Amino acid sequence: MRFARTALAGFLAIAITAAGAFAQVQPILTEGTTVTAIMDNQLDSGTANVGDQFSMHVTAPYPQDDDRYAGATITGHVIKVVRAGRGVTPELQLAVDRLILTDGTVVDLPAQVTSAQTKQQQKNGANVALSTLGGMVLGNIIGKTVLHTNAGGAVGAVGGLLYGLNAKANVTLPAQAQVTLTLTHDVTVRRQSHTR
Amino acid sequence: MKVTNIAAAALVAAMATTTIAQAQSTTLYSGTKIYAKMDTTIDTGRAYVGQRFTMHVTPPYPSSLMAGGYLRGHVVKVTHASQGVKPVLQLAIDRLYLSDGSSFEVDGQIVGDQQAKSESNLGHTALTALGGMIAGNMIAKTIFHTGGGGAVGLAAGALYGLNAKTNFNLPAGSNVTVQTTHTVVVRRQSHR
Repeated sequence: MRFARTALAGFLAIAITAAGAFAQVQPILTEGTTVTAIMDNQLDSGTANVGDQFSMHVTAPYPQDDDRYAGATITGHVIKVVRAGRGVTPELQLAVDRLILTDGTVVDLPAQVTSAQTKQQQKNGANVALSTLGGMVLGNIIGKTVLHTNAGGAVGAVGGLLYGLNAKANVTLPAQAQVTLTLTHDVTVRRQSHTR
Repeated sequence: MKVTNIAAAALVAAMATTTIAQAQSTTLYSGTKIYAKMDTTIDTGRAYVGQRFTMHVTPPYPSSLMAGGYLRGHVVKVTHASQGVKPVLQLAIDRLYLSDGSSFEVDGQIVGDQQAKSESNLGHTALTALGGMIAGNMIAKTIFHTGGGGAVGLAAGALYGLNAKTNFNLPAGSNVTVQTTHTVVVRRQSHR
């Protein structure tokens, strides 16, 4: 009888400890959860390469208002870069790799960048002005010599302006820029029992 | 001697089984490209976050195990086009289904697709350019008493018209390139 009581007490103690530990160490981030972070380094579609690594730090509001995500690092890499060109829109596509909590817990993070404070670099104003001027001169010459009209200059200027505007500028994701990630799968954050 | 023979036979059988098992699995490393064809059309004008879609895997296969397989995913982000607002469509890949019915969680992003414009804004641009030309001409002649207002109005109207962004779609049957973003081991089921 005494042995049975001891065994039961032991079993209950183990069960309660296990349940408590399970509830405490395994928060689940569900698909669709958004995580806000700040970029640690700058990425630029003009200079970035596929495979370039980057990191960002998780900021408030934390997922599920859980402060354990404070200071966590998210790592990722560049999976696609298209450099800006004439008629070519720049692209910078990022993949998210891991979430690293301050206690050393590392989790594969299935997420995508769904919002980022990117900056479009300034178009070269002088280049646009030059192509507009060139278009106007050319249009004026063609208008007067070929078509015998005075409207050639204005039409040429518009054409030159559109040509100049079509030269796309690269896009930059600066350090300290805010980034929003959206989880694409549920993920269980199994916290490490010992801090590394 | 008999015991030795039985042991040798068992060892050979175990090795053969292991070899078959190894042949039935493959690792898709992060960065692996999977080519597929869309099964349904997704349009930025009508799509919604969470909308499911599928695509069938096409050659060249990263592994022969993937022949006849398909990918399932969902829309992560969509922005409908409007004046000055570019349309955005962001998709996530969820699972890979093999032809034998087994399935695996896969993380992937679309890195290449055959987008098609849902509608043309050429007519709209022509109309705004014409309107701009008429308005520019009237303003220049009545207020500024000068010529050239038509050309300026035409340019302004054209730019305004061009700024009206149009939706695009990812049509059914279009080719899509998916890139995995995490490593996953794919195993064909031994029994079905």
